[in-house]
Amino acid sequence: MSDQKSPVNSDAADQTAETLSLQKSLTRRTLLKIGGTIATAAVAAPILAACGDATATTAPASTTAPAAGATTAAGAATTAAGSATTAAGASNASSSSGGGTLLVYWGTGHNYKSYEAVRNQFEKDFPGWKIQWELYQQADMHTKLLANYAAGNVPDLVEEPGGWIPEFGLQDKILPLTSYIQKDGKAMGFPDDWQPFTVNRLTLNGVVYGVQLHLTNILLFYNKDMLSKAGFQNPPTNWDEFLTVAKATTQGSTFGFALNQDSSYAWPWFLQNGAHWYDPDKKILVMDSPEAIEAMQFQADLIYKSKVAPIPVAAVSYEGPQKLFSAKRAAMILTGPWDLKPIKDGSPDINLGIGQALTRKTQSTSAAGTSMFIPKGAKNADMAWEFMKRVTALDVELATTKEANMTMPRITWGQNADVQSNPTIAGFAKGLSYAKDASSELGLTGKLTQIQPLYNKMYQDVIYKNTPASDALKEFVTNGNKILAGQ
Amino acid sequence: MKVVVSQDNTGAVRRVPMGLASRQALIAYIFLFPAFIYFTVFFFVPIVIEFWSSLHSDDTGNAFVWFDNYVKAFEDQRSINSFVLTLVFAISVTILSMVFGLFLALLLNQSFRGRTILRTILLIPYMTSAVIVGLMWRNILDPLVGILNKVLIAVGLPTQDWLSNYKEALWALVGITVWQAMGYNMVLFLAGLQGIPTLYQEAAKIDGANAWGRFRHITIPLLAPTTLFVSIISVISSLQAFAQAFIITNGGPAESTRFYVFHVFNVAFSEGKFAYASALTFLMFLAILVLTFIQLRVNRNGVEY
Amino acid sequence: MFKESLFPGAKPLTYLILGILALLAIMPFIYMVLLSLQTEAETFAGDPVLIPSDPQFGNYLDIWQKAPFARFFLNSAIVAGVITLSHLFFDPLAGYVFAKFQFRFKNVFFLLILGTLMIPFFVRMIPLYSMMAGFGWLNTYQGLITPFLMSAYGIFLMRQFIQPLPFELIDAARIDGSSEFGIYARIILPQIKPALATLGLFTFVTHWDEFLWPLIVVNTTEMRTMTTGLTLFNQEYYNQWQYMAAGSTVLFIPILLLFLFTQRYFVEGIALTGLK
Repeated sequence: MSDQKSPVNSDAADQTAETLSLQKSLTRRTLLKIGGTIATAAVAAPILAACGDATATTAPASTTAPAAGATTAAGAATTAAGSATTAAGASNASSSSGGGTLLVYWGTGHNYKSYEAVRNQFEKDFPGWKIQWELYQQADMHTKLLANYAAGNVPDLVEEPGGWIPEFGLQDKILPLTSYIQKDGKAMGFPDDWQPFTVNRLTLNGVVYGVQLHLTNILLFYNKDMLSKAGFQNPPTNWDEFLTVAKATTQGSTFGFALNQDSSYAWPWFLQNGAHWYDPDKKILVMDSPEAIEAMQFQADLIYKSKVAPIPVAAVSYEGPQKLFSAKRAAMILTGPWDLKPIKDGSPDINLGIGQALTRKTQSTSAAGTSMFIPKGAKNADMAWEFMKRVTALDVELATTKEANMTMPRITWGQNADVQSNPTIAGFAKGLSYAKDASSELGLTGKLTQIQPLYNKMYQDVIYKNTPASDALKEFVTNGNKILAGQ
Repeated sequence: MKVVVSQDNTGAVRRVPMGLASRQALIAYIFLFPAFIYFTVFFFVPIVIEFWSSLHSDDTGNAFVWFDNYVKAFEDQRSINSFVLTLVFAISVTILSMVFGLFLALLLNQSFRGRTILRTILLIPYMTSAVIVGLMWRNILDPLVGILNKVLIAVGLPTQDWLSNYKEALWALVGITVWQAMGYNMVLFLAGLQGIPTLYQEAAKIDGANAWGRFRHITIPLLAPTTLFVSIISVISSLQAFAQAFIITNGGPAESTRFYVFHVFNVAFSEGKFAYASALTFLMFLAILVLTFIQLRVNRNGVEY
Repeated sequence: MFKESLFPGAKPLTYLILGILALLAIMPFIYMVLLSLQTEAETFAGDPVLIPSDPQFGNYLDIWQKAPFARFFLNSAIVAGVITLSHLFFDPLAGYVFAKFQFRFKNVFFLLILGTLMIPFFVRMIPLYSMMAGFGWLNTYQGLITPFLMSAYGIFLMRQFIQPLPFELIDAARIDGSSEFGIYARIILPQIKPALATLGLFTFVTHWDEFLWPLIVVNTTEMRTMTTGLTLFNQEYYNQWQYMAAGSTVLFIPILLLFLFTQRYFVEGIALTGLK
């Protein structure tokens, strides 16, 4: 099966009759990880060269686009393809019409008007180019991408929810952005203007594979009225205060807090207590540390011991706690800017307060947010990069924040006057300074997708079955380490 | 004239001239030809590919590992748990939905006003999209804000946690699935009942049989082909239940509703382990094959009239 | 169908039981319609809103504008319709063979076909996808339709319903000089109308609601079917339930119509006259 890596075989696949290419694509399926990248790379290079031509002929109006010039065409053909052998024979076979379709996979939740403006401007600046803007939900997009890779039929740009870049990057399915960053990085401010950890989490073995689009974090939402009725004018700042407030606001069918059924919401607690997934030196999971156990047990005790939180409803979505909060049945929840709109629209009469993350051993919370990457084998990588530059421009970020309360990764965004003067957003911006990406180190092992379900199971065992945290975490670590060891 | 004696699977013995028998076979093959092509291209080829892939490893390099993935499956506690709970689910759903389906079909086979409307209404759960059904039940069964618990409180009965309780969630899904499948089985049994000539029932009544006797000796035997179909299909499809877990519970709480196909789908598309997922699928295939074979054997002698 | 009661006193009991079950059964439809009339704020509200205070009939107009809903509807109709017609043609043919013909390997073939029911679809999905890519049929109607032209389910169903038909029917027609295909079309098919109606209805519903295959095969918004099109109303962390419900209601209507249309095939019992 390893002979599939050589370009010779892939050329054969593309040159022979349909049935033979059919056979090739069918047996390629059995490789899974290598997918169709090899065969399509042979096709990609000439079109990349054409993209280089396209950028040279028009002058984009947006300030973020560099003065491209004709020199980029040659550069794009040899470096962007990522495989020297295929680029050589390809550069002149391109279409010089300067048009085409950019296939973009985007999340259904991020279809903002600010991005529509970017798309319209893009199509105006590059006549002949059309953006095929396809919206998918996260899980569906993942399924579709896997099918695409298996058949060698990938989109040009993907907005991913987090974690996919290590996953696909380690399988060599993502186009490294090195040459693009070399060319345009200074002008667009990447990576200098991005919060450092947002660049690190998308860097594998020193190579950058993606650009962070949004940056969110989880903070404490609280109902000001419910808290003041119980005698608290300010939100809690540490675990002890939290417990006090929760107990005081729990009565009858109202709870002080509502946990989420989704295990990623447990991360603020772990981070605040100094626990983390993985020790990269010893190469094992360290979630059975006393800190991790304490953090997990603390959450379970909220439900079963102090009874300040109800058992979360098992569901597919994250909206449970938000609904309880909107129904005024929960005084506090942990969530991010995505819940601002549902809460403000669904229950406008709630006096919403946003507190900073709690402090235990340290003040911390988990960071999240979508990023963009270009799949390897994408036919229009240059144009995809062009779009990436435009959609992360500072003014686009600010417009998006205004439209949807979404928070952003640029440092200058956080310093911007509009952001600072908006009390809600300013709170999130402040949190971004101590937020962490909990899973980036584990992501680098390439085994995160296999360990994630075990983590979910651990969380659910504790929350639903009241399994002692130490038992559940020990089981998680044992099974997880087996996967890390390659069993 | 040379004769071929054949016994078909209804048990009837037929003596057929040999020329006719081979001509029969020829016609049979011709009529089956489209199906043959179709199933080969769209089923057997992909299945063989998947089986071949299941003999390889998911790790980089995709080494050929014979039946390692299959052996691994038997040591995989999560997969085993998944399979067991799915089996429990399938058997419960099959029995309950067949009983309810037949019961409804019998009731609706009578002539009375409004039967058409009622028949349509009873099919609504089946006709509504899975997403809406899931959302609706989730809202009804929500322990804190759902209607069902509110009704129970009003009537003075104890509330349940339903989908939040890892012991109850699976049974909640059984209930929802039976509710959806009742109408579907009802239609199948109705079609079967329609195929029983009324004159048999009339004749039996004239002979003095009462309702139960007629049911036992005429309806049930003559419904046998339909019953066999319904039970096989029900077992096969409920063992492959997916939507309820995917849309309503995400396999939770604490993996108590993690149906096997849902689990395997996640192994493939979330964890990226396609070869292992294929192996898991083929193991389930074997299990279903055995169960189906048992059902077919038990019902070997059909009835012809 | 019985002209009188199943057993003495059955009628009132029938009404009672069916009444309760009908109420239980109609819940989703009512819920769906109520949900479709909610405002967005109401869908976010903590306590589920039962009766919307300000019914938004405009939601039904909005869905046609927010996404090319009409096109999704058409795509679903074409795909499900062609698949159903294909099933109605090919499945009974194969079912007839298995029910009434004797030939070597018959049982082997039948078990092979039945076996295909035991493999969940997504297992074949990737090779099928590669196949469609190879044919150049991605994002086309052919790509959406061809993997579903026949099914073991349909063949099995037809076999079960054809099996009880007497051999005399067929033999008589043969003696009369009818062609084999003529026997199939003119003798067998009319005898199994309820089963055909059932097959047609179920096939249509199944493929009307198909999600996974259109998800991976379709690449442009215009070729989406209803199911994949409706997910456009889902945001990342919350769904626009009111639009999903309105869309689902519209999705529901053709199924309802189809069912009402096939009603008459379920009506009469089959009295075999002239054959003793």
